[in-house]
Amino acid sequence: MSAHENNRPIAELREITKRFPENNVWANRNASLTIRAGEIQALVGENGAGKSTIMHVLSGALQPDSGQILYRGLPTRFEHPRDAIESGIIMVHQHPQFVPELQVWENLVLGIEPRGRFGAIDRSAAIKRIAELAARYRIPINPNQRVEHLASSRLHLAAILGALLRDPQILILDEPTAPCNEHEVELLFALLRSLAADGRALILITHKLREVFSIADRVTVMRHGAAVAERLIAETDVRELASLMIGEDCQMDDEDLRLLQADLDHERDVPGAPGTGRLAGAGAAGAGAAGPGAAGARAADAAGEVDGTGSATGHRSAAHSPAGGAANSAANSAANSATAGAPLFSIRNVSLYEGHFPLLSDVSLSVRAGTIVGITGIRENGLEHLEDVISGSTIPDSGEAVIGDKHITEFSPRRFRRLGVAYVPTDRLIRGASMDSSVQENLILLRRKRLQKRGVLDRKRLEGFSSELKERFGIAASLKQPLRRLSGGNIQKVILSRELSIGARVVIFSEPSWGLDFRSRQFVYHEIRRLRDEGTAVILISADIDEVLSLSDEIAVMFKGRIATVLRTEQRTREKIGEYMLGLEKQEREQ
Amino acid sequence: MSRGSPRGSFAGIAIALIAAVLVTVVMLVIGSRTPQAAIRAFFFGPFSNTYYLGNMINGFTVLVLTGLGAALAFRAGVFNLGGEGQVYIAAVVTAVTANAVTHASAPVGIALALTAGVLAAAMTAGLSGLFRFLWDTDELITSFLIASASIPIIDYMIVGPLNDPASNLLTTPRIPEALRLLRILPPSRLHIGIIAALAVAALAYFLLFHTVRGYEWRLTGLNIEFARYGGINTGMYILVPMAISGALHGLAGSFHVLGTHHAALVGFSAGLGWNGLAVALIGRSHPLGVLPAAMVFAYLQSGSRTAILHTEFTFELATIIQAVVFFIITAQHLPSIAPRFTRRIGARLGIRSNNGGDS
Repeated sequence: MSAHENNRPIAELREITKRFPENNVWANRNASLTIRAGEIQALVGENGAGKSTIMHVLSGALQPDSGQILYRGLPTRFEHPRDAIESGIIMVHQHPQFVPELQVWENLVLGIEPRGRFGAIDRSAAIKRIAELAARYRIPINPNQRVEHLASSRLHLAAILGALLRDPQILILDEPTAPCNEHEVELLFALLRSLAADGRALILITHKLREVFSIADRVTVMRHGAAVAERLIAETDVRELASLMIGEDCQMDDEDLRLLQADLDHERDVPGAPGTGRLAGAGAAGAGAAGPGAAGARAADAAGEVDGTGSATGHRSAAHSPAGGAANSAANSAANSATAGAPLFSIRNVSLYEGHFPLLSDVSLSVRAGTIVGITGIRENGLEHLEDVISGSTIPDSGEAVIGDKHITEFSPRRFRRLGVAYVPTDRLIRGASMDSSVQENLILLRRKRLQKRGVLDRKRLEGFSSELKERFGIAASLKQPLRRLSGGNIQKVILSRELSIGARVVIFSEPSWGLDFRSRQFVYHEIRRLRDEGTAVILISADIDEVLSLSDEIAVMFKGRIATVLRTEQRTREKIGEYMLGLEKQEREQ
Repeated sequence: MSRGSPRGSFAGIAIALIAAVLVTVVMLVIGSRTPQAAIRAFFFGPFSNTYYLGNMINGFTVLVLTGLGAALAFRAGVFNLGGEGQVYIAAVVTAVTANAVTHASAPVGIALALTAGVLAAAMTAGLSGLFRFLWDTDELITSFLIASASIPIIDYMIVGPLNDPASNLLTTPRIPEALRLLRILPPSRLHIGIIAALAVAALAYFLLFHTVRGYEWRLTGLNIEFARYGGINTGMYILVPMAISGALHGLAGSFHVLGTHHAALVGFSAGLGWNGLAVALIGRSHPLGVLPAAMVFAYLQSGSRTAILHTEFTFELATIIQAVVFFIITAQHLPSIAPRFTRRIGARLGIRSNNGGDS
């Protein structure tokens, strides 16, 4: 399945232009793209580069202003996603939509229900077909499960399964790995490889360059609405892709360079030669992933990591690697915390149950001024429940929170807010923002009481306040624009700027870099470090080990609703964290 | 700051209005043996003399108040389906109070009667808000049920204990002359309540779009999870908007007694609550959008009435015309209204959008 120049093109997008008149944005400008059967093609670019738009054009969700789609050599127009699906082009969206109360099979057969006698839906035939497909492609989805009981990371797998029922020739995936842990990413990648081996064309929209190199055969870089370059994966490297994405007109600052360097280091850490070796290695891991050896595959991955780090210690200078940088700052803040005294925020013996099932067991945690405490773990091990509790959204069944010197047992977001807790939630579209409100109305939420006079909002001050935030955080939108029209990166900037606008003593970040491109992510990291340096107590919840490693002074690892361990500077390695994430008993199997 | 202006393309609105007029003409031609007279009566009747004109504007007053009542609740994300009962309750309470305070001076008496009526309606609607706040019962259902249960009780009161023995009508005794609101454009029933209605619309606009409370109010309606996350006391924005919605319906009911009829007639409020909901929908729940919406509605009602009086055009056909016009105008707004409603109705049926929460 390696890529060849002579792979059969199945579709061609020619000079696609799409402008959104509401905000006068040229999402695509003369973008041209060729899609080949049997290949995994990555589509990379910064937020707003037009990746999703051109794929929406291909999948019939958007109509281009000009340009042409050639599908199987014929000019084609898809008026509606339905037309595209019937022709075999399916896009799995970033947030797949299901009816949560229905079972998986009911969701998946919607619109193509197999009919039995009297036109009734043939339940057993539907389930059988889905189960067969799931078995054939080793997709760990039970068709009888209700969607609301599926882990959020499995929703993409379920959506892909649904797409496979319709036998797509082109399958487009938009950021499918965002909610996945490493094991799930491998599972997904193994699936993508076998789909490509069937001769289907796969398109993967992603922000993670590392994923591009471990899965794609070919990569197309988009910038400012156009496809600026196409490369076979064996013939390019991270540095080239990054500079293509950012463009020469942009200056990279030190922080950017450091991340780039870190990415490159990471690439070199992967054992084997670049190109074929990388693919082969990843393929092997993928083959094992779907079976019972899943944990083994992940462990092997971790082991590979250790080997790589071992052999690469020479060039991993502290100045250039994220972990090294964190170690430096951790040392600084260790000095700070010695003088910082009492913690600004802590929770004590917090437990939360669903019926008799413990979601959180006896969790205690505290954060001092000027430190970042990272909380990591595999999703479904309590991270999301802990997020709800420490943000005040959920009242735990037992335990208390101490904010400053206030002891709290009746948790509510309102109380936490009043005591100076800022919170950047995982769920940005519902909890973190009001999508139907304007940028300005989203920005002023926490400052509404200060921007008024006798209950009347002071328009001048509102505008001054929000344009200042807009400027400082580089929000690329007008203040009157509804948030719904903004890109994911800009929405996150709106949330971030609002939360950081109140001078909070405690800031909680949950998955702050989900779906963000390289530079937005850098920006977020920079802000998190700045907060710490200014003496804020920061809590960082993230399933991304690298993120937690590079930012945190202390790392708490969650496993099955408990804090398995708290790691401080000297004991932290990717491997060690991985062991605790999987539960210590699995550590033995690894040896 | 977005003011959520009652926008929508002018072309679209024009098309909807033209379509509405055409449908009306067709209905009149089909349904009347003297189509020309019917058309004239329907379209020009409301302007033919001060009596019709004044009554149309008075109808507008009522629709503005009930429309605002519904719209303010919508804006907070709550539904008040009990408007009809609230109007009715306020009317009876106002009538009883007005007849009880005969010794008070006119301003005091009017103020007392008005306040009593408005408070009664506000409490009735607020009850649904309170239930939702305390026990998470659905205010959409409870407001409807409470109103439905109170209507026959009030019917009985008006027909029975409160009935005016001096009148052949099923009505309460007429209120003292001193307490009747000043009439404009006699002999029509238009009274100075219209000024209050317009002032309330302006006030509602100011509250929603220029105050902190209005901001919190709208935010709670748009995304209650986000409002809670931002530290807004969302419980209050369920209870208070319901009560205020009830108060505005109450104001409509009190005006009916103090200004329009000077007594509470049995069943007079039939349809008033629903028309308020329709006006709020057409006006996109915007206080300033409610005004033209109420105008169109009042014109339609008044046109039907003159057509019925002057030709053999029937009441049923008039109702159908109103329904069709309502359909056409809302269809124009449907793309913007529908998502909120389907989401809400979906939520009632237990269907949530998948990004509604982590499973």
